[in-house]
Amino acid sequence: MSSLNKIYHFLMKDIQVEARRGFEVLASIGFISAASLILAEVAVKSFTPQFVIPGLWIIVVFIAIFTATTTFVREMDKRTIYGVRLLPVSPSIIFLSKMMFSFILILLQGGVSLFIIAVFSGQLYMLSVNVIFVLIVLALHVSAIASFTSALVMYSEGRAFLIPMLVFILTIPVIPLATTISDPAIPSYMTEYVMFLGQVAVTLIVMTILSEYILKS
Amino acid sequence: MCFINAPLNRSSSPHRISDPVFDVDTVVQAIDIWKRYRGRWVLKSLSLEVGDSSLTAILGRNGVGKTTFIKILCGLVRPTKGKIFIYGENIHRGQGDYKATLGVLMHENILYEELTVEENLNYYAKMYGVDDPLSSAPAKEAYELLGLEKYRDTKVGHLSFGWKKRANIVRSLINDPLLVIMDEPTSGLDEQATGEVARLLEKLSSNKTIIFTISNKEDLDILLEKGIKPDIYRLENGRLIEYV
Repeated sequence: MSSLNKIYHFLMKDIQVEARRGFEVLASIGFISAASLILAEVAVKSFTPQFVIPGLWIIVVFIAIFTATTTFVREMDKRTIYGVRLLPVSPSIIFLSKMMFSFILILLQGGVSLFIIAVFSGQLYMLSVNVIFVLIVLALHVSAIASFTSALVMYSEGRAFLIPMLVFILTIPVIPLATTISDPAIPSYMTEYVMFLGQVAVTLIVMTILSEYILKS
Repeated sequence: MCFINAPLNRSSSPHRISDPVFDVDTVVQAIDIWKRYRGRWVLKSLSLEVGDSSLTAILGRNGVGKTTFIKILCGLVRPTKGKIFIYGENIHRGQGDYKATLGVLMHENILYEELTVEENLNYYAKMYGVDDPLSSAPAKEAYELLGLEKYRDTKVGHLSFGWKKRANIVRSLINDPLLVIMDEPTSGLDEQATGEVARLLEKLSSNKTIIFTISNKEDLDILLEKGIKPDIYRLENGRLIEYV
């Protein structure tokens, strides 16, 4: 069976399990929607629309923190991690499957947040291709970090503290670039796009390589 | 121990015992295993050699380190010191090729509680590259013998401990493994189910290598009454002692 096939079956299993725990996703979307509404309302009332874009990316980071608790950490809590680790599958495939799963969750919730902020703050430029492109790339970036963090701390007793700290610290460096290239009020150049994409690509490669070692040991 | 360095041809999996590539008579070799856990030596210089198509029972009270040893044996936990070879592969150093030949029953339920028994078995079958989970003869045999059919569409989370155990036993056989490692296959089962597990072990041992742990002497007696004849070891003070 090809690696892509294995990733597909692993991903479908995760989606099926998550769908059966729909209340968690719905609760998360509810909280994210509330946070987005508050952000939009504050931006309108205080005449500070320039904060909506960085605010959206901070919300995406918080979604990543939530997602980190649903990947490897949940497998460890439920002891299903033993079944995963006994499969004749390379750790990279397991990591990439989990990353794809996180990507879908983050993109779904980030999309809801983007829509609510754009509509309720009246900043409809946020629904442009440029912002949606940044959202997709950023979701990929934070999903790699969330999955890596989840794999790294799943055996740790202090993971409730470690997950938010690590995800926050590892994702923050990319937020200024994401803001620069997605906010029309800030002039941005091709160099910044290249730097943004480069940073995401390096993160993906480094996280995949490190996760191979972590999941093996 | 010439097999340790013998290269294995792993072009297809799962392998059969009759494969000429496995021209070895020792399947598992645990050499001088030590494990320190929370400041205490759980395993002390434990060694074990298991041959082809053999049945090995490890008897020991709760907390003596049986589960730790099983986890080390199947590569889930690293020993503090020592080496484990399965079909000649150092499992903590190699690429994990041995996993295709291995079926493991853990002490805990490792099936997804949100999915039904059938969905779990289908998922694991696909991950092992098998289309139908019951296409493996031992898995089908276990499925029928343990009476899992009636709970096929039940979510694993809704099953009792004993039925979860049965479902996990079937899962461990999906890839038609050559080596089956079972951690307390009879714990939480009633006498009838223990008898069914004994019959299953007896059938499997004709062409598979089986290692299982057991904490209850009464369960061991039931297994022996059913006619299975394992090599029995007692795990005591971190060491394996032949049990007479």
